Amino acid sequence: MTSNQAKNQRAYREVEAELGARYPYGHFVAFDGGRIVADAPDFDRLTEALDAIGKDRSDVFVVQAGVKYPDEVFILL
Amino acid sequence: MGAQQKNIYRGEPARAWIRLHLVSAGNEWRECDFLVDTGNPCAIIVDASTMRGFVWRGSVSTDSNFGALEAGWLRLAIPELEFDVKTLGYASDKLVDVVKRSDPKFAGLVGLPLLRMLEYGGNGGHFWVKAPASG
Repeated sequence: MTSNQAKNQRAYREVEAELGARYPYGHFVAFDGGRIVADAPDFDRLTEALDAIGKDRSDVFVVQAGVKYPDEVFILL
Repeated sequence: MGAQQKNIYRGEPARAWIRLHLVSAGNEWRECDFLVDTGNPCAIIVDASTMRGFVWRGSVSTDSNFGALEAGWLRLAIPELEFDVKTLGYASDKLVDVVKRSDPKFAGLVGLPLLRMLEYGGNGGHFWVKAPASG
């Protein structure tokens, strides 16, 4: 994980609970440099918004508001 | 009957699998076969190299009984089903190494979140997926 990814993941965990109140469920929210830089109702429109601000990069961090991302999963094979 | 992808079980032991296209942000694509595991809570798990080549965005990484799973948004397509989505996937070399014990040609593992975007099923000889019924 790069330092930018780690910074964005920490920033997300700090505001995780607020995102569900601030945006509709499933709304796409992008973080870069440890702060929210764009949001949109779907992935493709988020890409357009990121492109408009020069941040159409793969290390930009994207979550969906209200979605619970687990700290741990268990996989049986 | 609509289009479907129907695959003979493969590997040792025999496993269900599906063929997907991974599509990069630069519109490069790779056709790969993935072991199907309905008990897997992740849509797709690939190795780290594949994730680096095809990731569109980062996301919330997690831990697992196979170690860390690095998250990334991936574009997945099954052209014959007109299926094309961007979904959250994970990278784990350790887990993909285990999958390859069934068949070295498997590129990773798909799970229930991906299968729920399709219709899927199987019988004694085959596993199949098809596009979800409209409505």
